Amino acid sequence: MKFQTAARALLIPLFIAFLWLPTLDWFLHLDHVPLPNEKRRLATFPAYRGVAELKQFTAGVDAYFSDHFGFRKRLVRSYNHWRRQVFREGGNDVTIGRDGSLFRTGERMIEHSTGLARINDQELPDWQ
Amino acid sequence: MVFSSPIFLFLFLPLVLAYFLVPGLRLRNLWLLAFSIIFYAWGEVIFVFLMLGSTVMNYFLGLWVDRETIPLRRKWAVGIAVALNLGTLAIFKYANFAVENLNAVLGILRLAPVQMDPVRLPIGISFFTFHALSYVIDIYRRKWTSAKNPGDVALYIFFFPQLIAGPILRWSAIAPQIAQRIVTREGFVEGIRRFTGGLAKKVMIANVVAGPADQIFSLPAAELGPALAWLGTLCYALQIYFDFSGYSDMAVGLGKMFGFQFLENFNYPYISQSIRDFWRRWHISLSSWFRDYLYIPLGGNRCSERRNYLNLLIVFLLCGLWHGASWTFVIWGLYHGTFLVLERTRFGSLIDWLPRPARHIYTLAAVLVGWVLFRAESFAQAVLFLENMIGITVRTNAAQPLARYLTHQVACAIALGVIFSTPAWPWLKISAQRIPQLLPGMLRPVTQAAGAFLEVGLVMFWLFVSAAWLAGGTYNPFIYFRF
Repeated sequence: MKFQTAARALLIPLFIAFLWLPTLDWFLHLDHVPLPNEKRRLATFPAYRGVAELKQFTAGVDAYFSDHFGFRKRLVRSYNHWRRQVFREGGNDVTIGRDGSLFRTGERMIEHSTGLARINDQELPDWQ
Repeated sequence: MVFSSPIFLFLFLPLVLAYFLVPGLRLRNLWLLAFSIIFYAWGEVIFVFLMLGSTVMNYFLGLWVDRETIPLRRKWAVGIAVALNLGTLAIFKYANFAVENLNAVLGILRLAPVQMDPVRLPIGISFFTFHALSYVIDIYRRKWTSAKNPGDVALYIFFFPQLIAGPILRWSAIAPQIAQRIVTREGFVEGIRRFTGGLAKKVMIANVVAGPADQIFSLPAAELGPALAWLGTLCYALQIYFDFSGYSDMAVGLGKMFGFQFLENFNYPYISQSIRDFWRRWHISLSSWFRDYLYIPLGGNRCSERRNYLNLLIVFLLCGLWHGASWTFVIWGLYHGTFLVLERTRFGSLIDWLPRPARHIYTLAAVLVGWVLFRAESFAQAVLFLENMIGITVRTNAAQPLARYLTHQVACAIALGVIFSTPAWPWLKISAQRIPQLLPGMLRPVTQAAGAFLEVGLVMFWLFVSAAWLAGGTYNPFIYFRF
């Protein structure tokens, strides 16, 4: 019983510390993992353009926070590592072939390569 | 704002947990109310005023219902309160649907269509309307008195853990907790466990299977085949369960952290032995709400057999419509209602007579077909999808390969989903707790200590893995948001 009490006493500070760690990193820069190459521009802090555009502002802050919160680099690295090592998968829109080659899967590339995606009558004039 | 987002996890939640530094219950309630308004306003600034208006309206309606002593006047008061709340829901949720269908009829009659600007759907309107209805009806039934402080009604309706996706609360259950509650260490720890478990369910299972489910359901019928259609249905069944039950677990966990006890929303619905059993285990707060506030007032089963069947069909038609303003939801509701009626006839006796595995297969098959109706964009798409599932479509060489969608991660999420759809985790925990009793006396303290600290390690590990999935994963939809 006393072990359970001690474990409970330990879980609460660990949980609170976990929630505050990203904020600590924001100020103290504890995460030294190199910036992952995401091949996209990370969100910038949005400009406040008045109450009429408050929804866009909060959405912008959300996007900014998701791209910049503390320890994000370490978490993204861990996620990519597990995805590659455990699941043998590449990043988004990328698949790993049997010999380790990387194939792009976005924009129905696999379907186009295997002849599954056919150009329909509506799309045909765009190609001509 | 959603629970499974970095801004909630690493900014909102740490700040709202400063609640424990606030002195006195009244100030603590105000603290929770202020953060709950911010939580809702983050996604829907303009609709905060609608909710505040609804809160003030229901506060006064509650006072009116409570003060009336003449039965007929009391009935009128509660009737007006119900009509005003349902009217708000009808305008914001069903006006577009009604006009769309009216225009279809007018088109057939060669009459000019009704012109109306589309009405935007406020997030969680179905949930907060049902909370408001429970407020006035519980007062009418004298289950609890009206709130003297409008802040209490506001906290009941706005409280962020249940605001946008339930569980659907009852005023009679929450009012005593708003007035008095105690946060214990055990309660807070249980809250952490439930919240972490729910987050892991959401990001590691629901989000992973959501990808193939959405992709497969958006494929043209010619590119589907039986295997792919079944995979899409299985992925969607796991997605909707782990998405919603994960969110409910997080809500229950957050409630516990602040000393609130919410109604449980799920009880392993995929192990059900019949559709009746399924509805005792799926979205319990909604099904019990419909039972107590609609089915029983309609007469329930204390009436003729035919009237009872009609009551069931009415309740499930409205249950389907509650999920969304679309004919597919109406059909889904009637589909389940029909099964419930059938299970009260000789068909039900036949099902009860079947061996347990056969009953389970029957229930799962009925539920999965129901999910196709629920997920499809239209009834026509649902029919084509179901034809693919039973393999009666003409095969073309355009069918997509299964491996394209069944990646290792998806296969792993499906396996975890199937395991955790059963009570495997509680069984494992109970079995692990018995281990020390089987060991010699001197080893017991060591195993007990190892077990207690292993659980702490597991909770923190799942929290870290969930955060990594959130940071790295980009696909994070939430189904019950739109209801």
